[in-house]
Amino acid sequence: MSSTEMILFYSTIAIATILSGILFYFKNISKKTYLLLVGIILVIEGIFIGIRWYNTGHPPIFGTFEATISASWMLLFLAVLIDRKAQFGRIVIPFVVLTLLYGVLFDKAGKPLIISEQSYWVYFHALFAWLAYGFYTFSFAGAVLTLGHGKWGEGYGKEIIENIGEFTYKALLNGFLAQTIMYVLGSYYSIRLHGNWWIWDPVEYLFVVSWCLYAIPVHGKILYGWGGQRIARLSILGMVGTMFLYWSLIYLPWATYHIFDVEIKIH
Amino acid sequence: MFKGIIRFLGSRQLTIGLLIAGAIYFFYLTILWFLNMRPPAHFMVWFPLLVIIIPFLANVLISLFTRHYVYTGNILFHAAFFVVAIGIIISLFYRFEGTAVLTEGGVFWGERANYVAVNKKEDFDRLAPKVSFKLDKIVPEYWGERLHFTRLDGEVRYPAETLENKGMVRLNGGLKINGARIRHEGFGFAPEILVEDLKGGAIRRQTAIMRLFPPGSEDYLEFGSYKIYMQIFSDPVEGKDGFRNRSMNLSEPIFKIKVQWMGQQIHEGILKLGDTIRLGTVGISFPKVKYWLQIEIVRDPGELIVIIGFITLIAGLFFRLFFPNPRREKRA
Repeated sequence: MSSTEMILFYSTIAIATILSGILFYFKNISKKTYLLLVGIILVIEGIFIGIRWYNTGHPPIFGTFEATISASWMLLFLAVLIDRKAQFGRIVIPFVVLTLLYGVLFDKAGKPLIISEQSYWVYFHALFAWLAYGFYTFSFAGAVLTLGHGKWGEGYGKEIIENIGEFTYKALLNGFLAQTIMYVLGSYYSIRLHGNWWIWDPVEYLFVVSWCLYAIPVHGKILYGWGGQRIARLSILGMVGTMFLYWSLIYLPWATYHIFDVEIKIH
Repeated sequence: MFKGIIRFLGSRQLTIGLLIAGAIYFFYLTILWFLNMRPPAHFMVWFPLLVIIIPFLANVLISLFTRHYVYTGNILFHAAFFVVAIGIIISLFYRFEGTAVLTEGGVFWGERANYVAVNKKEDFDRLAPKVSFKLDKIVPEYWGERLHFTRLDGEVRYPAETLENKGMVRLNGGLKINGARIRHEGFGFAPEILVEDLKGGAIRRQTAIMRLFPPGSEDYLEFGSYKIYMQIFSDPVEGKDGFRNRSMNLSEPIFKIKVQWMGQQIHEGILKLGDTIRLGTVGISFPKVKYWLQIEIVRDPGELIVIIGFITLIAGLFFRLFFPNPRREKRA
């Protein structure tokens, strides 16, 4: 990582951490201030991504460090796009910080893509993966506010909480669509890479697990008319599952076709 | 009773139950993977999967007919599972998958003997695609000194009879001939072996496809009652502790050889290209090192149907989200 990249990367973490603190201690931060600060972080991280992309010759999709950059940027992008009322920042922005800090634990050196990653199909597969991650995180944030409005959602009226419940469900649906597109793109690329649209790989199993987990509240709402509290609980379960299932795979000992670690190991 | 079964299969409880079962089942597969138990083994994959899939399809089908789905998008989304299922069934019966191993300059004629493995031996004549080509050259490129491929292309000309078209076989697809997808899935070094008599007359010249990649890996070949263990240093540099590789590229490679006869080691040493070792009444040398590729040839008519199913799946969700058009009043 060049010194410019280093400065931009750690500045992103620093400003996001400061914003998390502000959001935690000052409940009534104005929407304008919030959007301005999120916008600044988004731009700084965006410049960092641009420079890294230029230096490595590919978008940030290779290995866990680059995955955390993409994931955190997508969260900031969605914050500007769908959270203009600054309702979910106090949960989403700490998520951005934690995601970036997690990435620091991994190899940060820029490397060229190996052959299996050299395809626009992979780029778009990753893009929709992070879009799904972003929407699910917002759904999770809405769920936390719905369940804990006594504490986390302090200051929110009943009507706002109901709106948040609706937002949670919509974010979940959008995440479900993005996740499905992500899988279909990956499946098509798998035909080119492995000769088959389905391979017996833990990442595919875990996709189905998380897809089913998120399908439960969607079906529950349509078939039984489940309300905000239950949807919120299931949304949290889905997010916890997704977080554990995706980010923890790198620590497990056996080979998967997906690349989480840029140091190539021979199994 | 029949009505009761239909009612149960189309019930909302079963819908939710199957989603929970699906999540648990695939989590169970993950646990198996964690325990280093790899599917597909019938008892762990097909049986439980069928137990979930058959009621799932029944549940979706009955719900489609009982107009359970309120939105047009929902209908499209759920109908897509049947399209995917049809694709899977067609693949089960008509998918052809064969593997061939070729060195540079090798020709593949598409006959049964050219394949090292095929998925359906008895249906070979019916299912095998008419594919033939000549592998001219293999071009690997690495990042620095690491086992980090940035390129691995097999330059081919096809069909083998006329060689009129040019193409490139890659790890991630690229080449399609007569509806068959051709990609490579393995790579390595193939030393050429020259066997000569005591007067230097060539008895046999052959290229051996061996597992000597990455450099330093050991493999052996048998020659009569001799076993020749070999390692290749592709781009050697001599240090205090012997030879090591400067890079993965082939540049004046050397061979580290151990020869066993009747289980006893009788020779150990370093050979350069063209050096000869004497084994009984013959001399063996390695004048050249080529590359080999393991090539997979797949033709799967179900593949396209599965993809159509997937597109329908996305279209259904898209309509549901962005054009919510309830066919009747929402139940919930």
